[in-house]
Amino acid sequence: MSVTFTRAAARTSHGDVTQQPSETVKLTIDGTELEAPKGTLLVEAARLIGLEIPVFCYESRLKPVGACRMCLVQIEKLPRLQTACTTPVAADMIVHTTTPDVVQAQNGVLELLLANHPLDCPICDKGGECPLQDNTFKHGPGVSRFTEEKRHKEKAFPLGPEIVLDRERCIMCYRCVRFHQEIPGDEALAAVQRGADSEIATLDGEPYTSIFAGNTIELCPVGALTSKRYRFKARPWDLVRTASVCNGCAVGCNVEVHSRSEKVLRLTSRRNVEIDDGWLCDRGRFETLPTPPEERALRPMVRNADGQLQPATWAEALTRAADILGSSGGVLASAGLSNEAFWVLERISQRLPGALWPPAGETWPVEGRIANLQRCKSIVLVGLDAWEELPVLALWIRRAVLSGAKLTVLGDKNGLWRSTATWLKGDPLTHLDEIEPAEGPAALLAHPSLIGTARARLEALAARVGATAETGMLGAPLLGANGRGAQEIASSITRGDVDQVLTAKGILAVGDEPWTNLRAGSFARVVLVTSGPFADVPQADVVLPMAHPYERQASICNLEGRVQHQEGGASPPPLARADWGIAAELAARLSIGTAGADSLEQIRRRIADEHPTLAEILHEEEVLVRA
Amino acid sequence: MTVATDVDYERVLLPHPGRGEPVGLEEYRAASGYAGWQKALTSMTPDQVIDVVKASGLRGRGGAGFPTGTKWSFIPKAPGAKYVAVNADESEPGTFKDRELMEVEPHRVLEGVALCCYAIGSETAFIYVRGEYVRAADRLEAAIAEAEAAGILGRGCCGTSVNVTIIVFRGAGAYICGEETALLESLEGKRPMPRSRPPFPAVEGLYRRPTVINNVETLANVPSIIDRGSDWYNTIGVPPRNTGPKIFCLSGRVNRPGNYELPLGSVTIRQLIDDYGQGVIGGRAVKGVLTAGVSAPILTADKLDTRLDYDSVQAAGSMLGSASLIVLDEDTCIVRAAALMEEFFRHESCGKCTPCREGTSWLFTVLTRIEAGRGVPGDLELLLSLSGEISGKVLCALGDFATSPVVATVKQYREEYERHIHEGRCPYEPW
Repeated sequence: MSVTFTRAAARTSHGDVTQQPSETVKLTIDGTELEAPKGTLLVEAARLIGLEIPVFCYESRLKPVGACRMCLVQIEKLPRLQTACTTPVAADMIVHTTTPDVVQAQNGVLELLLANHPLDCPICDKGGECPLQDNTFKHGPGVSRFTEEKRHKEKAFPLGPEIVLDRERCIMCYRCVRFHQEIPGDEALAAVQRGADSEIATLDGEPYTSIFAGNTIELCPVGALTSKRYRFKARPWDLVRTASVCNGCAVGCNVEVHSRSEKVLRLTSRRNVEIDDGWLCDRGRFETLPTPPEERALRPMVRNADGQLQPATWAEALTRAADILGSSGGVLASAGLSNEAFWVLERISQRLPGALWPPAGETWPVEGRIANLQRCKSIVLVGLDAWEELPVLALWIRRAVLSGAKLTVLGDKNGLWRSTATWLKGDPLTHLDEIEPAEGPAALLAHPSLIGTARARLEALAARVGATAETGMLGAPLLGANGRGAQEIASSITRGDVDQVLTAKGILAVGDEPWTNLRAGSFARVVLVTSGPFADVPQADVVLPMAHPYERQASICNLEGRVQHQEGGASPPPLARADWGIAAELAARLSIGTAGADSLEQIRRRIADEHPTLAEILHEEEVLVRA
Repeated sequence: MTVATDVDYERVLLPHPGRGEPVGLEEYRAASGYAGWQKALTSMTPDQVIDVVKASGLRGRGGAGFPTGTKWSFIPKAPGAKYVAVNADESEPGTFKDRELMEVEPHRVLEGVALCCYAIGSETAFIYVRGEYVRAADRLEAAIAEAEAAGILGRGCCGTSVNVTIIVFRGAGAYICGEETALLESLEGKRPMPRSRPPFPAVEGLYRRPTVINNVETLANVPSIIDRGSDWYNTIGVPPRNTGPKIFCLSGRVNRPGNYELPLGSVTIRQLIDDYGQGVIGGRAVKGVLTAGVSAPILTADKLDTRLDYDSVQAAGSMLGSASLIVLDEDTCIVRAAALMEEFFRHESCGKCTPCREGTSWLFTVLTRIEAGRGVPGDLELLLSLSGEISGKVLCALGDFATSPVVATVKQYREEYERHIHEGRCPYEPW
């Protein structure tokens, strides 16, 4: 049987996945002939024919090291077994993965790993999703011959605020160390000591606070690096997994929401090679999860004459809300609301002035795709600290720099300082004329707060450096999860004047934002629609319980303008409703027409009609190329 | 003192045995020092230098015995930076030849390095000296300064347009840095763990540039090869595959341990021990001889008449390696010796690959248990089986060599192991 593969599935470990070499190589694995692109590592070539060679240290997005020796295979004409993870395909190569020698090697590696590995499975979070367990079942010896005292090391070591390290479980695959060296480049972890005393540690005992720390939880093939928040909360087979999109920022990393008994317990990545390549930042991974039930509104509430918030029915609460908003009202919308909610709110803001809150600046919609960044030769960031604001986007910028791009950063804050060629501090706008034009594809991204005064100058600068949509990226992204959706669908709101809204007597505050910081006029009454804390919002006279983004079926747009679907993840509290549903109810109470659209499908159809670039909203989320 | 074996040989590498003070520039030059360098620079092309070294049959003296000229010829001719890294990490137990070369004959070493640079088109060489060899590193640096002041090294060597800069780099105490790719990692400031090969250093070495890595003693041979020719070199030793002199490091239970420079194949193990080492202390019987530090299988006493050259030692079932001979006598507990050797490997394993990291630990634990009298039946099969799980499966030679002490002693001294197990104690006096 002969199989030919030339599409993106057969990628080499960490190169540009959207451009493939055209040359292919013929080889044979376990008697099956196949053709694979030149440069494909044997581990990946085997996957093309559905063969999983066991690995530990190999990770397709990191450079291979050949450390764990789990993937040893026999290649004809070579005297010793070779690691499949470091060996690229060669013409007429003949590979065997199941010979007695290979089986003995696999047994041996596992026996040696398990010799000192603690028998922690019953109390280890990784159990059930553990490559060491899985490989042992498939390729390990049935019994242990180790009768000595196992090596003891520190257990449950608090490496950092989010990560717990169990040094006894660590099998020294170095994935975590290599991740920090190669991907963010912040070298947050290191291997210290030597030989059997080797350990993973931070340098100088500093706490492990990298914004990308959570990725090592997923990378670690055993239960050595685990999540503190998730510790002991569930077993993988108890979890319900739903495809969704992180609601943390405008990058829109794809995630899986894992919940148990309708409680969202954790996020994992859902690799999208065009947006996140399987990485998440800690803000998205840990801080976007729903507010605990004891701190959020589970039912509608209305403030009584004594100033106390009391439970009410939806009908009562909506009536009261309409009263408040009816005479002199305004809308403050979080940039984390869904496209569908924005569509309804745009209708509402024809009558009630609306604005984004917190204020997000003016917009210069981004053109170009995130995946273009890796091919750029020059990248300019104006007043935008990508590492802080759009962390996973910063990883793409760093990837470009590793391929030879020059990064110029204007402004005082720059988390990408390790990768920056030119860093001009101070007011970014004073340095615009110092930027040289450069050859090749380019990207220019600016902070939205600069657009009000300097859009024309920034557009001219983009032209001068050669930033185009086709080959690069340009614009000033609104930083919230659905700032782009707001821009496209609710332009009255994105262009709205916050100060004007704050003078209204009735304010509709929608979304999960720190509303306790809201400073409205002293006579203003607030209708608060949120899934977050509500008790400390002083002027909230009505509280309407909203479904959290990981509890709603809705869609958002990332900074590219790409529509992505959030498919829920857990059920919201029984009396809570999705943001667009509450908005539709309010519109009805205020006699604001929604052109007959009051179901999710109808709203989506209207959006697709009115905004053709968002036609994807009608389709189920396509899962893009998987590893 | 009479030397029973009459080896007619005029020393080339260490002409002043027993000397402590270094040979300075003037003294070196007075004895034809840097004559080879001069000759190469003025009348030979780099390729001609490689050809002469090839014709000499010189093999690497660090342990692997790889033909030196062939190694140099692997360096691509394409333009761009190339490097020479000198492996002065000398950490194999029982090895102290490079130390004497660097401390007493630093200029000879430098001349060899310079010739290698010239041959492969490199302008920069790093001598990676183990951190403990403070005196050797200091003396090399002083010699470099001397040579540069005299215009022999540095920019425009000997008035030509050839530039050679030699830099001394001090290690920080790890045997694994003697593995060539781990050495390169250490030079680059990284954790010294071996790299996966291919690519090999000749293609992608230091900073991913083509690099030659040679042992100190290997390079110390080169000046006289260039000065006096490969034909002359072939009169020493046993051509074609065992040519030239070798510094034999003799230690263990002998009366006079030390460095002995002799032609390859000119003496047997017995002759080295009796005629140069003045015999075993107290006239005791030899129990076994290690020939390559702790990295090669021990040879039993019936192999004492093996000639000391690469091929003969291999035929006897071991390896000449760096020629570090350690003599064990009849009072030595072989189990304890094996445990100590395994402890060395356990301690020095870098930890990168599973079989070496976990295997050396486990082997050491079992050996210690047997030595202490707590061995159980089945332990010997376990030792051999674990060695099979390590050998051939590891990332670098340390793992392979780590099985030598175990396998060679279990196979050749099995009764001694079994005595420990059955008697529940070590039958020997503690050392």
